[in-house]
Amino acid sequence: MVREVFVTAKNQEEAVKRGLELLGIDENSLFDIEVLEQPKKGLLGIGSKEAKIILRYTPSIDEVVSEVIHSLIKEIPDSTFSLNSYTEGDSLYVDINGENIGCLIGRHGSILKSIEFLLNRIAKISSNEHSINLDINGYWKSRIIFLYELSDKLAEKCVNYRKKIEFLPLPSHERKVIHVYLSKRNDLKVYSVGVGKTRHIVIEPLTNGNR
Amino acid sequence: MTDFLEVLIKNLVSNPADVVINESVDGNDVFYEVFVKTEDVGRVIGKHGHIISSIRQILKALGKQKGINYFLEIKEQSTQT
Repeated sequence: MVREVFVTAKNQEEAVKRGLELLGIDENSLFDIEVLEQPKKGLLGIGSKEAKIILRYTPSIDEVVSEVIHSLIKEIPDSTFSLNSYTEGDSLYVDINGENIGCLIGRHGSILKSIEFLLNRIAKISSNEHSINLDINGYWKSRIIFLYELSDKLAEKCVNYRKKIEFLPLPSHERKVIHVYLSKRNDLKVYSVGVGKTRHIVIEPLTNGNR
Repeated sequence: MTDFLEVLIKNLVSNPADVVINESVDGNDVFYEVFVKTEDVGRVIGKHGHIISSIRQILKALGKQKGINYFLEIKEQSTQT
């Protein structure tokens, strides 16, 4: 979202300085200046004109994300948090750690994924190619490890007993993790069956590489 | 809560200056009416209502902490009274 301020001052430098103060950024940030009216000195203060400018500033995706998360966590009574974000390739990883913010995880991380979805929408609109990965109190990391262990265990069972095995019903973002993880193996066939809340992954052993 | 909705919705729409949020309280129920420009209604609701249901889900989780029921509705600006 582009932020705009309209400033008038005696001369242009002063107007820019005041505009930056209003936007809450420093001189090193990237911003655009549109000059509406040049200042005029006039004679003895008669016919003098003030400089009128518009400052435009597009905040980076990091700033937008932290602004949204700050305003969100402010709504939870007696909560503290720290935000840590880093870029890796095309992805922006946002880790939030704090007290009393467990309510933002939800069942199977459903609310965590909702927040992540909204942040990704915002990132897409501000024409940034970043994809955002959100984590609260390390929940998603530990959940992925659990899903990897579960799929390893069931895949071994499936191959050893040559039997079709059904997973427990999981939400779509968790099923995706398992699909991606098990697609590396070439001795298994992985697919999902069921509709809605009962949709779950089924794995079957492959005979002679028939997919 | 108005702060959060304002930051979020202003980042989603293409005309952030035209976003108006009305809050009305009735006991434990809090109603939010968000007025946006006609062309921005789709951006706040999303495909199959995906965005609006995500926002409602977050509001529900926050409301649980405080014992408040939040209701959110998106309206076109022309219907504002």
